[in-house]
Amino acid sequence: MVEVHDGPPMDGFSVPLRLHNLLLALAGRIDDSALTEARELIARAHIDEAVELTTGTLIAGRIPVSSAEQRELALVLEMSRSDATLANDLLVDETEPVNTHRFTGENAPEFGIAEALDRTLQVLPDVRSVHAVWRNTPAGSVPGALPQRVVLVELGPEGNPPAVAFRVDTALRRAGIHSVVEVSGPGVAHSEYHQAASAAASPAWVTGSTTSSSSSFRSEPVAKPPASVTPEPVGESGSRHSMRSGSTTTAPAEPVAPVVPIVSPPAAEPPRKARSETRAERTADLTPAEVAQLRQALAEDPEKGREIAAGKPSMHEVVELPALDLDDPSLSERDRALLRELHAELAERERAEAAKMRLNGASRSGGDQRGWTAP
Amino acid sequence: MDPDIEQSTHELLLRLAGRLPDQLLWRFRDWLGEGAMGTLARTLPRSLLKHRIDLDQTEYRLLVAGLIPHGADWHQVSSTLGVDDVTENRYTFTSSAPEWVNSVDSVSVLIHATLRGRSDVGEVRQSWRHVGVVGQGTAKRVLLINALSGLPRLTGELQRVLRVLGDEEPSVEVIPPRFDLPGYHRAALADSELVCVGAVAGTRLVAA
Repeated sequence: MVEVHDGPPMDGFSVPLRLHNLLLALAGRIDDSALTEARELIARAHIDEAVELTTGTLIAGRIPVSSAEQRELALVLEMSRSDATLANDLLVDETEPVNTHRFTGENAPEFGIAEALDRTLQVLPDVRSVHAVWRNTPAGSVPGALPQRVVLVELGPEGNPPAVAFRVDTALRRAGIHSVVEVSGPGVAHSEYHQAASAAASPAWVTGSTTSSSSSFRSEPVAKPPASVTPEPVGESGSRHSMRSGSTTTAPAEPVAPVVPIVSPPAAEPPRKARSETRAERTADLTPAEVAQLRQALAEDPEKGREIAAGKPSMHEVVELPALDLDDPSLSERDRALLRELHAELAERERAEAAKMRLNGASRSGGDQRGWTAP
Repeated sequence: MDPDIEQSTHELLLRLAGRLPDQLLWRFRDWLGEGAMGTLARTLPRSLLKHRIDLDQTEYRLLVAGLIPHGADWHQVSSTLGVDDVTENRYTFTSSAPEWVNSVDSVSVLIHATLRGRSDVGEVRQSWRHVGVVGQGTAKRVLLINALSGLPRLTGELQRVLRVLGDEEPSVEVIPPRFDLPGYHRAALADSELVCVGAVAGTRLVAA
């Protein structure tokens, strides 16, 4: 039998959170249905069923786990009063799993998410950011349809990751947005899978106060055309929870955080020239949304323009977007000079943030990529 | 794996169609197709108890024959034997595809391409399952396949194909010959359409 009492590195985490963090480490290695169902079971206090589903999926799919992961699964099985000997059937391989997944932010993976989550994000505490990305590669031994939308949610310390994962998934499903939801709380290192996903992800929603400082995901707002890839309806999709007793409605409550959708739903329109830009160009330059805001602010109040360029919280509205045009005859020489100045300030800020993010990324990748094994 | 044990568990999982939630049933069938009997033995009896699914005597014997040799908990297994009659099928079925299926039903075409003329496979039919009144709510595709051998493996294989095509919780009923069809399957067959026929001529799915 597996030794389960040797003090794994997740001591101090509650059993649901341990399993949640295990599932984060298994993302991309087991199928998305198993991840989603297990997270719902955790949120519904069916930890035993969640860990049995997870372990069974790994065993039947002959998906290798590390001995540390095996110990953790055995421990969660035991702590949830399941049969811990189930973990003996796991295939153990100490070789680090290589992330072979491909992600893309093209075709607006974030389309509709801010609207679908409007109510959810007002109710759930301490949600910091929501990003989305398409995954073009199959996950696990029984993969679902591709591309798979992956929704990445960052929480602050007040948030409960399993609960948020379940509620966000429920709200997206209700809106007809099929996805797998990965929720990271503070203090858990991001796996290689999550780093790759977040590198390509597009922002769907961030809190006004934490636009780019506390999120480990990229956060530049990029307006994109709607998705050209529409997953086929599955049929009887509403029956997923039909034989479970749980209700999927969220309880009404007062908003606890400012709600700031950064990308308004793009209207059906042809792809812009901006899509042909590289990501590096977009990171270092003003985005069309920022340019539009600057132009509008310049027209109304140059001081407001400075605020926007400095990234202050008054940057709440996103308006219709013409391209940056310093030759616009409606601009005065003074306006042009101010625009250039603001542009330079913003670029400097972007560079500083990019450097900071690179530093964070380096420190993460230097640790154990399996989040729950990190000290 | 002992073919009798495998067969017993397959027949039990067939009989649980429409009673165990789809999301559990397809997963258990996948595990059986992969030969993960130890996993099934430790999880299936508990799931039946948690979802308050009682077995009749025939089903109970299948559970004992299939999972006790693989370490299922005897107390859990014993508790699954019910006394009252098993609830009859609560679904309705139609043979025609719902409106959201394109005029070209690519899933059906793919199943045809995969199973037509295949050895050990007889008739392949499909039906659409509805909860409550037909036309209200969504319909779910149910595949009904007659096969002579390798039933769990074929089930798993087809489930994977359907999942990749967008059916997250596929309903694939691979039925052995001389199988006493439960009400669920009889109702589905009664309102089904032919997809294709495998290499086994003369083996037909017949609704009683």
